[in-house]
Amino acid sequence: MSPDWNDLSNIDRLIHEPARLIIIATLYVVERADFLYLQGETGLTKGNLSSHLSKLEAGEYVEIEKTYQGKIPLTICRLTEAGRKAFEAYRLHMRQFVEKTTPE
Amino acid sequence: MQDEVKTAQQRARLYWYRDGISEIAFGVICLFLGLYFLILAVLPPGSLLASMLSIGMVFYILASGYITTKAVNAAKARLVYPRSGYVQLRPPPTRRRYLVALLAMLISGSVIALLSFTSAPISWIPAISGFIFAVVLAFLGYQNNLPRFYGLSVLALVIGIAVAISNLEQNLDLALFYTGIGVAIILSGLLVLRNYLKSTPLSGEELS
Repeated sequence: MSPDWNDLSNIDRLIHEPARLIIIATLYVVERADFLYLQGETGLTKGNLSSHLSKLEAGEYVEIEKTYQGKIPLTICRLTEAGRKAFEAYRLHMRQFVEKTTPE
Repeated sequence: MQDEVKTAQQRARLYWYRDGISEIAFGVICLFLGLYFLILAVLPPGSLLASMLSIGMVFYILASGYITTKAVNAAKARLVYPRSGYVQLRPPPTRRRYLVALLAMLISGSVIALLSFTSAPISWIPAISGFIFAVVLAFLGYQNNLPRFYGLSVLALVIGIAVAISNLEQNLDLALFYTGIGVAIILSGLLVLRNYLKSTPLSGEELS
């Protein structure tokens, strides 16, 4: 049986991009994290991370709160409920696709 | 994918231990307990102050826990967040919290039953405390892949047994046990903190 390639075309492209996938996977396991922590965990540059976070925020998968710790600016990010559900759906989707395409 | 998520979870949990501050705080709580038992040992048995202290033990532990939590947050904000960032872990699921509470009650119940219904001498308490500390520390070491916790686990057992066989007066034995384990944990935490500060320079102002 040939795999249903349409399955893959329905994938959530906002999450599927590798850098955003790492950001979402990192945020998935924590309550919230700041920009510096995300940068250390993902290995992305400031500009890259900032740009991907903006896209995720626009897609309402991530909430960003700008605050201060003393005089140091702090950008706190957290996955929204929609982002959490989208990541879980993405994982399920990918797992099913891999199972379907794995030769027996 | 499941493994990657688990690895990310473990890394996030490990982040909590990488600077040694929480260990230092736990060691300080142990020192508070050591001080508590030392005061009890010094006070005349049955005195009003000793009775009040015995009753107030729960409040004493809660207060020392509250103060050290505040101190940990302040230290992390000053030393850790500007270096490696801020992260707040997800609270464990309610079922797991109930399980942990149940396990803690089972352990303390078993210890009380052991001491009440057997001829076990009271001097066993430091050894039993050492064993409980050893199990908890070994579990933390295993769960978070932290070898130094295995060392602390063995040390807790050794201190507990050493204090138990030295046959000290009641309360003085526990004072020595908690002081010993507290100092060991603080020293371990200070070493980790020193290495962390050396290896993790201050980050520049955050851009985003």
